[in-house]
Amino acid sequence: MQLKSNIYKGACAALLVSATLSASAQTGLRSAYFMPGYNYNHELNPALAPERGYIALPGIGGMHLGTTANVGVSTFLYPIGGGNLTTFMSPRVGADEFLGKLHDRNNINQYLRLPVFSLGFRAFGGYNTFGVTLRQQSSLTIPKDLFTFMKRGMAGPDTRYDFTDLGINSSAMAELSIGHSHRINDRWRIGVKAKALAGIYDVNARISHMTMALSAEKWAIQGQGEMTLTAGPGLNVPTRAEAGKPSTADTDPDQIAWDDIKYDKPGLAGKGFGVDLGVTYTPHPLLTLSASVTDLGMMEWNDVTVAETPHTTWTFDGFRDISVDSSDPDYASNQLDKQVERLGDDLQDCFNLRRTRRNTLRTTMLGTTIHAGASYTMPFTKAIVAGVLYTERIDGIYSWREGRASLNILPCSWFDFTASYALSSFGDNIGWYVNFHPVGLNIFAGTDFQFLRYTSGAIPLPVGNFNVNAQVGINFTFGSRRTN
Amino acid sequence: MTYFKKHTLRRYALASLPILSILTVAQGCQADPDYDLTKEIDKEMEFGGELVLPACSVAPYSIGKMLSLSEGADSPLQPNGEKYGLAKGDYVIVQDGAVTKTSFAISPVTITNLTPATGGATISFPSVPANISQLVRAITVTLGNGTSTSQWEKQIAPITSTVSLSHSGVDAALVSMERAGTDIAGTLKLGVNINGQAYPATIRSGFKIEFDPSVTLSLPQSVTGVAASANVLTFTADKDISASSPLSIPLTISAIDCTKLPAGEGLSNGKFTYNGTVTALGTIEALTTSLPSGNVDMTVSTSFAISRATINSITGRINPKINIAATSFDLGSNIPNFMRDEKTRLDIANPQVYLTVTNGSPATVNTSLTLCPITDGRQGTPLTVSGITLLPGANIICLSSTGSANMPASANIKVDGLSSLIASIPDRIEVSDITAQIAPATVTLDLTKNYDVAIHTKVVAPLSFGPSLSFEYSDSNTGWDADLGDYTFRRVKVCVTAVNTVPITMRPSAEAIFKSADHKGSVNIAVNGEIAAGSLQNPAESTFEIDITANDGSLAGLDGLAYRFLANRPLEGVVLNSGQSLTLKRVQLTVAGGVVVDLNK
Repeated sequence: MQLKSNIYKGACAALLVSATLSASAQTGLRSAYFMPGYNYNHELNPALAPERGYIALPGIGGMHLGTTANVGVSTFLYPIGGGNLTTFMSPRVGADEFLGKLHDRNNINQYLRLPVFSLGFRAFGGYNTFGVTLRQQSSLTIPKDLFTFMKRGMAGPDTRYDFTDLGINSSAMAELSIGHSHRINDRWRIGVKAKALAGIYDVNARISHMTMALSAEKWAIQGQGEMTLTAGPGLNVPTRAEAGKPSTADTDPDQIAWDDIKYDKPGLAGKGFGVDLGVTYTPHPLLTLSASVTDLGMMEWNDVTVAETPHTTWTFDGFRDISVDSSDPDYASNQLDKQVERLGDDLQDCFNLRRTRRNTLRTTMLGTTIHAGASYTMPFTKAIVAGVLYTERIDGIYSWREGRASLNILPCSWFDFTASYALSSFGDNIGWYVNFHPVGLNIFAGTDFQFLRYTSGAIPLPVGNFNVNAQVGINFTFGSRRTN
Repeated sequence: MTYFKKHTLRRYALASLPILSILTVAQGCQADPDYDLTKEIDKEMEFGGELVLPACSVAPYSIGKMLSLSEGADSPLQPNGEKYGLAKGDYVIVQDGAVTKTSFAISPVTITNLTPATGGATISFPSVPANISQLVRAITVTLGNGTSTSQWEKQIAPITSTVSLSHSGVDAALVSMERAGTDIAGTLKLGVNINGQAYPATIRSGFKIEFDPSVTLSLPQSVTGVAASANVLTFTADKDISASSPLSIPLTISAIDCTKLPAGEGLSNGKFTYNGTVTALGTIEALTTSLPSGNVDMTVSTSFAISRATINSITGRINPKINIAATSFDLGSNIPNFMRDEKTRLDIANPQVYLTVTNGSPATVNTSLTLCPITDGRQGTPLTVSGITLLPGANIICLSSTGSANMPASANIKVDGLSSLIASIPDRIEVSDITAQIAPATVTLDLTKNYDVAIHTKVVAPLSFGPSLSFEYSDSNTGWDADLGDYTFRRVKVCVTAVNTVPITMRPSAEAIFKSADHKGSVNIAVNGEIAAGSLQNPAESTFEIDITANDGSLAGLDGLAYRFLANRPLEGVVLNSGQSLTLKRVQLTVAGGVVVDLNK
């Protein structure tokens, strides 16, 4: 029963984590990249300047919350008739059917970008921005082999699985940014934004290498994992020895005492900087090309706790001399139960994190995003602009890319609408964006991932890949309306 | 105006596009009824397709545990063969039976018909002158051979008389008698008369009283001047007898040699008869000092009167009744159950029944007995053993199947069918119909004693088996449903390589045990292969495979296995030993078709 409970808990935990965590820090809505009334397009490309100055107030300024994933509800849940669902582990779900929906790396990302204060205004021969933003992101990557193992077990006499890059990370930071978009001439416009970053927390756990080899002679798991954790000086991650926990043959005194982690005072967990660079080029009055690189920079996290798994290989080549006779001198230690227990302890020991360093510094590069876009205004009307945008996120195992085409409708000076279609690492999506921007006010709402089928229940979730995002906000605008 | 209308219409048309798009999206965006998360999600889960557990090994499983041979100190089955001429650790069934005792005796013969022997002779001498004393000192009579030198010395024939003993009703157990040890007490008297008057005389040294040659005489120590030798009394010195007290000598006949008796005497048809002669020989003289003058007639008289006559021992043949009570010994207590199963045929190679007999008699006793197994009150096929010879004194007779004994024995008797007696271990073995007969030989027996015969029975059966060995050892392992009830398997295959030092071939088989009888027949269990017989010197390696397949695709409800080992084809002559064991050197478990866990429960 305990095993059953553990399996269930593990599966639930995996699904929960999968459903709530992972991947990259998003900036603005990519669907709105070509919209002149979108006040946050400078987050995508600092060379882009909103049509008016604006000010965004905390809470209502344009919170951007979303998830992206290349898997979703329909990957893990399957209808079995009568409106009932079963999990991907059900014997009624074929291995090929389930595994065919997976990718080599299965990512689920969650992000939040909350403008605390944002200001844009024209001066110094261009458009200037100033912002204070709270950024948070979480990412989870699960290699396909993990699910293949769960579903297929041993697929042959010598089966090998690679669980490398199974990882989870999450971080939060505050961003102070100052940007300037400058028109060089009628064709060129450049922009730059400098960001000062203050870390709030950072957690990064990753299996850097893990293989599982299953054969009739031996099971072997070779793995190496590490974790870094910081939330400022107030976070204390003690070892078992420091927590006063007795050391046993199965425990290492340097193992982290998870139950004794304390967080007693908030503090700065890190500091860093970033730079966004952008450019637009208008070779023809109807055609504009643009490109940007955002978040070029780094973070130096402080008070970092570093933990690693031991460099060991867990091997199971069968139970030896299982003792079934109570008169056997080794009966106490060689009973099957004891050997199973030891095997479990050894396996657990391979993945028990030992604290190797504490209060150390850790420098990480920011996940960088590249945008490249082209827009074309219809020659028969300026109210219709077609655009294509290529986005590539460079963030290690959490990287992704997207190509998005959009049709932007600008029927009048105070109302815009766009519809987009994207092919990305997370599947295909449609997006939309609506913007009312009369003088003095900018009300907008949009999404890059509009799902058409959603689950029944209190919280509708997309049936397909778990791609959901939304940005809704009200800005107050000022100044005359200008276009790029 | 036209321009205005044209641009206004265009704006309306463009403005309608997003509205139409929103309506289209709104129309297409709908809840999927197949994904209703408000309903319970089925949590039946299947892990893996096939799982092959790396080969495991099991520590040697001792034969004692494997066959549950160790039933405690009270069990007749113990691994202490070294006490019984076997190797250390050899299993042997040992059980002692109760001692059965008997005794026999033959009554002494008290002879009641006693006829004394009397005899005498009168010798006339010439007229005696008054001064005879001056002429001769004495007148002399010699009985038997002698010479006369004067008229005062006479020689006559010896005086012979016959004594008779007879008794009817002699114990019938006395078949024949070659020699009788007797206690025949009598008194020999001799007197001299002169002219009818007792007259003092002197029996001269060398005078003899000769009895029948069959007897042996003895004298009390109080008698002096006379010596007894065999059947003759010889006066070793002159013996004076007075007128008032004739010679009287008490004597005993201590034995009668019946072989020297004439036909018709001795023991015949339950009657003992003895007619023996008593003959007086020698010289007797009477002094002349008071001899009357004139004619003198001298009379010498002899007699032998018997006061008692008993035969206390014999040498001869006897045939007493020896009644030995039945006995039995328990075997079935604390014996492993499989050994007691009716279907079991142990075919123990050389079971041995030791009869430790104390034969207190001087006779050899020929014995037969019947061994009969009793199980649950039912009698098995009895086995009669004859030709058991019990010599006087201590005997250890070993009855065995092969005629050889593991323990020292004074005699080994090969008994066919002895193995069948304990083909399956009975509750007890009864030893009955014990007949005992004295062998037809001459023995010397003291008729005043009882003779004991005690028989102690002991079974010693080393556990080595013959070719007809066949038994089934079964056991079960249940409770799986409690541990694995939430896990469903489709097929489980176990491939085992066993190293066996137990000298028995074992063919395993198994049946599924379900919590519910409804599952019967839904599982197919195929067992291929067997465990070959081996020995400590030559361990045997063999492979067998157990394949458990669910006919309906699921082993759900399987609560355990009832497994059996059919044991046969032993290594003949190799005794089960506590050092023997079965080692599962390689156990490869394959779970095919995945493991389904129902987490809905």
